[in-house]
Amino acid sequence: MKISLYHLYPEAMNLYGDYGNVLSIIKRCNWRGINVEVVNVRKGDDVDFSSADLIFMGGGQDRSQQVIAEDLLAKGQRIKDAIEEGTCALTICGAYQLFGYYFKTKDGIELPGIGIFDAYTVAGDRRLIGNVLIDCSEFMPRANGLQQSKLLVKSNLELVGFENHSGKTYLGKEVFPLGRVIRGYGNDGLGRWEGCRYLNAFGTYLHGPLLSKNPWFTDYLILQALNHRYGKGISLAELDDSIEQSAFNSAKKRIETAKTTHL
Amino acid sequence: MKYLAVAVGKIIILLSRLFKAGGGSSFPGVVALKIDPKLVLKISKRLKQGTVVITGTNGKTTSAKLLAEILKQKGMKVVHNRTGSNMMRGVASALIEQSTVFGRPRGNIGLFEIDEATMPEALLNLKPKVVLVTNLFRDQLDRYGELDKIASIIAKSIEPLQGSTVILNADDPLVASLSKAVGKKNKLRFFGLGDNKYISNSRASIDSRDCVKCGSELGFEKRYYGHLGIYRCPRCSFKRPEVNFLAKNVSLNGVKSSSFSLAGDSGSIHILLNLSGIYNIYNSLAAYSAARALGIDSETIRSALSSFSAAFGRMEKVDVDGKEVYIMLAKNPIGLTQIIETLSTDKDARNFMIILNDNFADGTDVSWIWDADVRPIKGCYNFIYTSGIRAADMTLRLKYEDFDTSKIITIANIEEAFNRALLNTRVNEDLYIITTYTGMLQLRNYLTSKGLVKGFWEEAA
Repeated sequence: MKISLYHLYPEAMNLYGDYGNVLSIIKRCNWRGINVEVVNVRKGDDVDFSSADLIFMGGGQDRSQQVIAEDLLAKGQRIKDAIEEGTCALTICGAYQLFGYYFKTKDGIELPGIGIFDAYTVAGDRRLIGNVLIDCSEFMPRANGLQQSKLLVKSNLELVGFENHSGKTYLGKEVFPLGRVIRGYGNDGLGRWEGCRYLNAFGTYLHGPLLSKNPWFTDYLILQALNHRYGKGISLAELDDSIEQSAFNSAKKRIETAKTTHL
Repeated sequence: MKYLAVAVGKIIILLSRLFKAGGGSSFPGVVALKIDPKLVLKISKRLKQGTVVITGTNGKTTSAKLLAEILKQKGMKVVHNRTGSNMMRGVASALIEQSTVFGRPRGNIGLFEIDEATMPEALLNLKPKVVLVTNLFRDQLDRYGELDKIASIIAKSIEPLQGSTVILNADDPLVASLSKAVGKKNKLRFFGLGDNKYISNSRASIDSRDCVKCGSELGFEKRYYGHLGIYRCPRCSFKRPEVNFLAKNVSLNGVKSSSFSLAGDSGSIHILLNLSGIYNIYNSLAAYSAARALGIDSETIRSALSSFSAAFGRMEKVDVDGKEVYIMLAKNPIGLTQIIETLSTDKDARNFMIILNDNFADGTDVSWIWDADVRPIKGCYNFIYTSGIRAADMTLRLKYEDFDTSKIITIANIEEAFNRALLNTRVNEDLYIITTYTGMLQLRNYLTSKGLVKGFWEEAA
């Protein structure tokens, strides 16, 4: 078996160990004998996203984001078509913002995004920094094969990560949050919701990298990507996740002792 | 009382040592600056030979210590914030400690390593004769913010300077671009590497890849590590500037020593250094450039560099039970990548311990370890102990590069991990410890309590 992973702007949009997310997908596939074809998508490339099973895009510094913004807009419709047709996507931080409708700067200028997520972001005054713990159990779609895999069911669907953003993101009715914030600031600094989901496309402020410490979520994305390519009914072999679990636990312990002052 | 702030600071330093509360490296300064915010300005202007300020992401401590060695060999008395406390309170503490109760410094030249974000305040108060910028890499983003912001803070701090010498690393595009902030009344000098032997293929930590002038992707003729190298913009005139001080003929001998030649405005000298790694060639080059800017002769520089021993936690050697323990500080992706790459060139380096803490001084976000290239030591180790608050994150990082995890042992407690690692190191073998900042302090405190190293405040001046 194989999946096709389209990595958007691997050099320009790579902050906070984002490559670790791609590495987590590759390794967890390879350890199960699944091949991952990585397609690096850069500025100016003419790309057909219809054969993408999974799209990944990380965060970037302000300057890098300006450099790629226009190019992303040009690719926006094709990415959107792929997602409507079932392709899975994960976007982190700056990419999450760019997948929304717009980012409104402090001067009131609306920088357009590609509008896959019914969401918009407004520049904030304070940087929201710290470890985060969220609970995704209310929002993960049950019908999409989640319960088919034992290893997904045994997890309590929590995610740990680290957020570092000043933009405040607000969700519309067309999307679900990724999870409920247990500890941390979340989308808008109020400590309510974190991230968002539209079909199989996810946006989140969590890095760490997210997928390294939360193997159930990585496996969920891999399963969706396999379903996209081969149809339903695929199951994943179980892996020894004891090291992942220890890393999750040490992050969770750190969060429980931290203080968060919400906006 | 005119120097109340100094007196109070001195009392705090004394008390904190008496009660073993640590080196007292910044708290006395915090209090003293509350009493007299102009303290640093007042004491530092009494330094007859002026001050030198060193900033940048990596290499501040080693460059400063190399330069201090040169200045000392020249017979100068150096006032130096040697304990790695590099914000204003650390500078104030160092000045208090190294001056009389009347605020008269017990030295004639100041040498301060300064945190990038502290530069505006530091330059305003220290009015330095020489400013040196080593390099700019992504550091702990939770504290420092993005790289471009750091560069613009440094640029703003340099703009008001008059009559100073500003020394920049020509091989770092972002650092070299700071030259536009250097006013006409100052001298501008560049240093850089000219070598064909040590060219990097690693894609890790190329943090400045776009032209600062026009945004096009820079072309690299050579890269030594990260984004340090010989570059040119394909579209505009931006390129690696001509250098005044050059290192060449580099030869790295394992992890412990290296040789190279330094060429500048007074001919060429050959250096044998008790440090290795390309990053230490840059550190030597930085110290050499600053020393030349201060008018120090080549022979003194050569002799000082050749007799140098490692800085606090920078490949520092400790002898324990017939085994040599080396402690190396790694606090950001490029630092870790460079240490691992250097270790991998030495076949004797096979026993490792890696400490990962996430306290404020370490950076609370540990995701940076995923931006480092750890692969060079894969398959080249007897064991790796991972330790510290986030030990499991480090083990996980290694697992995802397909390291053999049966030889990786995760023990969060640093003392326990150290003892186990030492026990598993045979006599006549070495143990290499890579650690974040607070991990190093914890380990050193433990080694001090066992009488194996001196407390860092006891280090000879």
